[in-house]
Amino acid sequence: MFSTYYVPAGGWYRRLSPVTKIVVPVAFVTIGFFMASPLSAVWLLPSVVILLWLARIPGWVVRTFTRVLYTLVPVITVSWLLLFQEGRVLWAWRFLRVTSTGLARAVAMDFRFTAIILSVPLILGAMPQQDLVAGLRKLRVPYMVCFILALALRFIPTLMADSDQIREAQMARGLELEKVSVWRKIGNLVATTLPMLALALARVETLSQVVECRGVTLTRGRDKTFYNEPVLRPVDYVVSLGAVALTLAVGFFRYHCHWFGIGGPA
Amino acid sequence: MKPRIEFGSRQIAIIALSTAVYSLLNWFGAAFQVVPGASLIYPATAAAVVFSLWFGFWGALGAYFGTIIGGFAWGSPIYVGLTGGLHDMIEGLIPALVFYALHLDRGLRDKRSLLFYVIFGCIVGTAANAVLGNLNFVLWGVLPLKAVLVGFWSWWAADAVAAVVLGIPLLRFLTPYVEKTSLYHEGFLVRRFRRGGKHPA
Repeated sequence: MFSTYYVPAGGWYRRLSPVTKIVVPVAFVTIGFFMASPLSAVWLLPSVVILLWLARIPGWVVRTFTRVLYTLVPVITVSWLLLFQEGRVLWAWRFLRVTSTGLARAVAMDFRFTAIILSVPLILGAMPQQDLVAGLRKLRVPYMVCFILALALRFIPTLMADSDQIREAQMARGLELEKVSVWRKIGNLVATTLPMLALALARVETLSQVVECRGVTLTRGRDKTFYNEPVLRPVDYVVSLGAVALTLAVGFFRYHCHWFGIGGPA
Repeated sequence: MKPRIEFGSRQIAIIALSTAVYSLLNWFGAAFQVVPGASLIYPATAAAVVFSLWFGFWGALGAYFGTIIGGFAWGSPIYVGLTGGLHDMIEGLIPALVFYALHLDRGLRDKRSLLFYVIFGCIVGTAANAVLGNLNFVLWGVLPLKAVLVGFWSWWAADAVAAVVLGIPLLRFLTPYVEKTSLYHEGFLVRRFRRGGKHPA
């Protein structure tokens, strides 16, 4: 999951501060939500491909997220085509109708969410977890939220390892988890989830004692200094502010000038 | 005696655990898809409900962060997760508030507690989550408004199955263990009530 997507690499984008590497994808996602017409949303795809290339994100990481699209794109397409009835009717059969606006919306949403989902590796694949948390802290996200996020992210691989171990132990005891029907798999989920939770609860008690021993309190973040402090260089300011400015400009043109919407320019 | 809000090392650890477990079970749900976008069971629902019952508000908060992290790692846009976490939290909060208010047995060791769990944990809470979840998708343009009527049933069914198949065994078998730990919350926001004080509820 989180911990497995980051692969160290060189390149200009990788040398940016974690703050910039958070701001740029978030700005891209925001711009993506402003693009409501197919003609404007189609430009999101080459943009995200360029960003992924600049960030040197490995192909296998991007392919992991494209698998999500095999589910999402059909659902979005069918929903907008058949359930959005405004506009000129292009095709009709009994109670099913495909309209021009429904088709435009379906295409636009497909492009939009494909680009947005492909932008996720820009965060997960371009920096390790500790940089992500340090970047959020630099962006003034409350210290306690960053601390809890860091703990949870550290917990996930441990739980996954426990889950795999429990699965193998249960299979060694004769529990069939693979070559059975989906309904049996659901029933067998209890056999793996229950022990995993029991282990996790024991770990959490220890974790809470460790947190207490280290004196972590609600007010600690105010005076705390950190070893890993992201440094912002002039190029980070240029890129971050540029991304924010572009987002605001697109938002202005979208809502004030009615660009990028269905029926508007582009 | 006025109830106090307790937020310390245990609550921090509980939120972190709930977040991690919810994120992981979020992923497991993808293995049970029968058609694109429709899963037979959504195991993370059981985590939201069970943790809310054991740890009160702090367990429900884990469902919120778990939705953001789990959905994000799955490819869901961050804005969808930021608003989507609220309805996942509500799914756990509804049965938790009922159980805490009526002092029901969270180990489901009597019929009354089991009945209230089925009604509020398996039916009402999951239905609320299904409605709000589909509306969240409409809010961010993933689906049109009419899709709520279609999407509601598959969402509700997946959550209800998880609340029954996973939630009941987890509560029945693990609650006695959790009650003995220092993590268990007697109150919605506090672990232990002071001895001799009036019960706030």
